[in-house]
Amino acid sequence: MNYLKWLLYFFSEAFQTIRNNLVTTSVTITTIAISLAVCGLFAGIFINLNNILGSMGSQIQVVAYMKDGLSNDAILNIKRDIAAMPEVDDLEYISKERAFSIFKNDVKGQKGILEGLDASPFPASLDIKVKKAYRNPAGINGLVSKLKIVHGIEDVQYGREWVDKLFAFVRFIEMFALVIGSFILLATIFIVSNTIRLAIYARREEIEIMGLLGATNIFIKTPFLIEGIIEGFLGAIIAVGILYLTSLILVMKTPPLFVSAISMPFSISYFSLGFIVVGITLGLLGSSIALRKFVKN
Amino acid sequence: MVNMFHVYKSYERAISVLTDITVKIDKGEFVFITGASGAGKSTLLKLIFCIERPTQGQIIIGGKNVSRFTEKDTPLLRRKIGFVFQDFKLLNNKTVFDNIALSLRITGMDNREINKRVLRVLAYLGLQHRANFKPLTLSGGEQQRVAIARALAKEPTILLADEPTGNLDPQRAVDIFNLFNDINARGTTVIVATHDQALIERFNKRTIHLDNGKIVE
Repeated sequence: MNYLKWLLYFFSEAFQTIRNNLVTTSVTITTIAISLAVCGLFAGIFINLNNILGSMGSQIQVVAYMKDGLSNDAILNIKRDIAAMPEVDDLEYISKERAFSIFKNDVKGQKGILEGLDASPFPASLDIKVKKAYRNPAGINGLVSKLKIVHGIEDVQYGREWVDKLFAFVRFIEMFALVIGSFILLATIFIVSNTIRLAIYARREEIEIMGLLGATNIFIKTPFLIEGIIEGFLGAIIAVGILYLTSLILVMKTPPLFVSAISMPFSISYFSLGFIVVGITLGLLGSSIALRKFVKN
Repeated sequence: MVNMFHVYKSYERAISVLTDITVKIDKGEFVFITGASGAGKSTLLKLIFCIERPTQGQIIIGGKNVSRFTEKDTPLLRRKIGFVFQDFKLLNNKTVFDNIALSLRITGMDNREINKRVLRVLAYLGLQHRANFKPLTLSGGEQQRVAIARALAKEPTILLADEPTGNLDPQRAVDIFNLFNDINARGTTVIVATHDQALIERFNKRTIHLDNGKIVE
């Protein structure tokens, strides 16, 4: 009951201070909101880019060509063995005849090319889709080595150069995101804690007087920490609003083809919850860092 | 009540503010600390109130050695000592009532008891009509009385006052000293730092004179 009494007192003190210092509080909330919105915008861009790269990765395909003259049973065995490999997501059998008809379809209108070709010159093949976890140079090389020793497989091909380039680009983007992301995060913490520090600095006399009256450190600090939490919470709500509106405007202004690439990366509820947690942590952390300087016995 | 043994205070090696102070102030005494500006009067009060710590020597207040204080002991000591600051140190964004109530609220006192005590002390100092005013709307003399009211509300065992009449006209200064006399008559130990020689002579109390950080009489 006593704790409840204290808590009520601390909350009423925090709200009263916010009311009395509306300008300073608004500046702090705005700073938190803008900082978080910048962080969110960066995270959104990075996650969307990652999704695009991920969908490009799903196009990676390995083709295993079969020897000629294999029996139906042998083909079935090969399909079964390969489908059982952990790297394989899905596979499609392309018979000699189907490969020929695909080719014919591709070269329609250039009959000269097909002259003298009665039977299919192409080998039967398996188009293999790779599971997401193995869509990297090491994973694909491992699969290719395994395929090469399967009895009945003559050759294995995949777009090696394209895969290497794609993954070099992914690595670059990840490093870039890590460096810039860390920078933005540090800048956010720095800006928010300094804004709160300035707000608390303006009230250092109040802190000093409380100490002189015999208030304990907890008594002095708690209303400030509650204020930090409230400011962080409100800043985060505004940041979510800014980001949500930005994404809505972007979706409206973007051609339908690219809309999927700029959609919100998370469900709105998780996204908001995450931001609120980050906002509250920032407010709390900023206040406690600033208070360390001013509250002493 | 207050015992100081060979207390030294210096801020940097070269600047010595108090030198070899040994003094004993008994319970219920009224003591003036006098001396010119910079003699060390304020520092002596700050040492008793634990705003400053001695560079050397021991200070015993109410049987407790200040140099062995933990972080929690200082607030507890300050709740038993009233301090009237030269610049009042009132919270300008709070009303007179709330300024006085705060010094009680921090002790965890019940709201009903707080109201009772604040109203009583306001009446004692003739400030009832100023309860809902903010300090900056009051005169210097009234602000001084609010500061005294705040110090008295916690019913302190010791009352410290640093140049309490510095900003007041002579008649108001006499009123304040009469008030301290009255508080002292009720059993509170009163220690007042002042350089107002006329008042010291008028009230004829024990005087500790400081000169350049040393006790001279």
